[in-house]
Amino acid sequence: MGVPVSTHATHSARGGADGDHRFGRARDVLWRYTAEGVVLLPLKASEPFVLEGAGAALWEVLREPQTVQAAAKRLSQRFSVPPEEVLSTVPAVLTELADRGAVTDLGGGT
Amino acid sequence: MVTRVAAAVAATGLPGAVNRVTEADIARVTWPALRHVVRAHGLLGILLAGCDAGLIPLTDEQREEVAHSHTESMARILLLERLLLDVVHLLRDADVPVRVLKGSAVAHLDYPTPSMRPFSDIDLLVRGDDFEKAEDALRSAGFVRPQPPVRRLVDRRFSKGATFVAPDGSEVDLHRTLATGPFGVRIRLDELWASWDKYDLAGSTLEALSAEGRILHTAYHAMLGGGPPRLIVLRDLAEMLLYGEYDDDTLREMCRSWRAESVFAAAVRETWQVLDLADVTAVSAWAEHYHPAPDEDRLVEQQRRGLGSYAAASWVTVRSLPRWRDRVALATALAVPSREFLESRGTGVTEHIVRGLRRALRGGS
Repeated sequence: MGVPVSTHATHSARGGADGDHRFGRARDVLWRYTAEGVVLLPLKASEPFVLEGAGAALWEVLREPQTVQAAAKRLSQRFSVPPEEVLSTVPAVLTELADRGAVTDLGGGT
Repeated sequence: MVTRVAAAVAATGLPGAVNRVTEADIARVTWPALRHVVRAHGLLGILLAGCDAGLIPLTDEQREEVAHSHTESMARILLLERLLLDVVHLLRDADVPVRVLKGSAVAHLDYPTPSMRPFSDIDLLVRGDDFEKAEDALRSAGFVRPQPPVRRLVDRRFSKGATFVAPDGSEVDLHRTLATGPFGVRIRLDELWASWDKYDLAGSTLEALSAEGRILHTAYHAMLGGGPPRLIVLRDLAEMLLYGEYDDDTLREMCRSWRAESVFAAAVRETWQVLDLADVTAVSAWAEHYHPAPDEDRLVEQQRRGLGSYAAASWVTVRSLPRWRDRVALATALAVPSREFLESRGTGVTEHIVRGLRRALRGGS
C-alpha cells in the first residue's frame, strides 16, 4: 500500500499551482471509495495509494474540473476553516496528485 | 451459527430482509469468527456499509478493523482491474472480442457502489473459435496455462474454459461458456453474445453480459459450483433481481431456450431462503412454485455436489451432448489427449489408453 496522502501531510517540492489553474480527475485512473478515504491507482503508477480526510474530500470536489481557488473554497466550507488556510496547502497537493498521474493539470484560466 | 449471522450481514439493506445483526449475535459467535467468515464470503464492504447506515452494531474498534481490511482489499482489486484492462486491450489488439464476466462487471453494473463487491480473479468470455488466438496472445504476454488443453478441439467446442496465470501470479479465467456439464451444453452462445451492457473503467469502455445474462450466470455460479455458494454470490443475485434493470420476458425466454429453469429456480429459492427475504417478487413467487421434472432436479443436485474429477466431468459432458457426432468428437479427443496434456498429469499415452478402456468397460463412470 502506498503512502497515505492528505492535504495536511503533503508538500510538493515545486510549491504547487496558482489559484487560476484548473485541475480535474485524470481519465486513466482506477479508484474506489472506502471508509478510510479513496484508494487510487493511476494506470501508470506502480502501486495504489490512499487519500484520506481532506484529501478524499478534494477528490470528491474534483468530480468536475475546478480551479485551485474554487476547490479551496469548497473545502473551506466543508471543513469550516478559513479559505486562506486551505489555499496554502491545496496547490501543493494538486501538484503532487498530478505528478502521480491521478489528476490532470488543465492549465490556467477558465 | 456464525454462518447464519454472516447471512444476515449479506442481506443487510435488502428490502424484506428479516434478520438483523445484533450486538448479542456478534458476542455469541465471537468477533474474530464473524470477521473471518465475513471476509471469506466477500462481505467486508456490505458489513461496513451496514454499520455506517446504522444497521449493524459494530464497536469503534471493530469498525476500524473492518475499514482497514476493506481498504486493503480495494487496493488489491484496483491492481486486478488494471490487469483486466491490460488483458482486454491485449485481446482486442489480437482481434478477439471479449465480455467481462462476474467480479468487476457485477461490482460496477449491479451494486450501488463497486466498493461493496470484492473479487479475487478475472473472468472473461471469448468465442470458442477465438480461444486459440486468445491463448496465443496471453502466452505472448507472459501468461502460462498450468493445465494444457486436452485437444484444441475441446477448447474450441466443448470445454467451459481454461485458467491462465499472469506473470504476477494473478489468475485470468478464459471462458467459452458459463457452466460445465449438461447445463453448459444447453447455453445458446449466440444468444449470450447477442446483447451486452457496458461500463467505463479508467477511460476504457468494457463490455459485459446483458442484465439477463448476468442473472443466469450468477444462478449457474451459485448452484453448479460444487458446494454451497459464497454468500456474496447470493447477494449478487438478490441485487440483480431486486434492483436490476432486466427485462422479465427476455429473462424467461433465455431460461426456456437454455433449459435453465431448474437451475434458476433453485438459485432464487436458495437466495431467498439463505438471506431470509420476506418480500415476494414475481420471480421469487415463480421460483417457489416451479416444479422441475425429477431428472432435472437430479441434474442440478448432481452438479451442485460437483462432477468429480476432470475425466468424470468430461464424460458427463459427452453424455449430455445432443448430437451423436459431437459425442464421438469429444469422446475421441478425451480418449486420445494431446501429449502436452498427458505430460502435465504425469501420465503416458499407453497408460492413458488402458485407463480409458477400463473406464469405457465400466460405462464411463
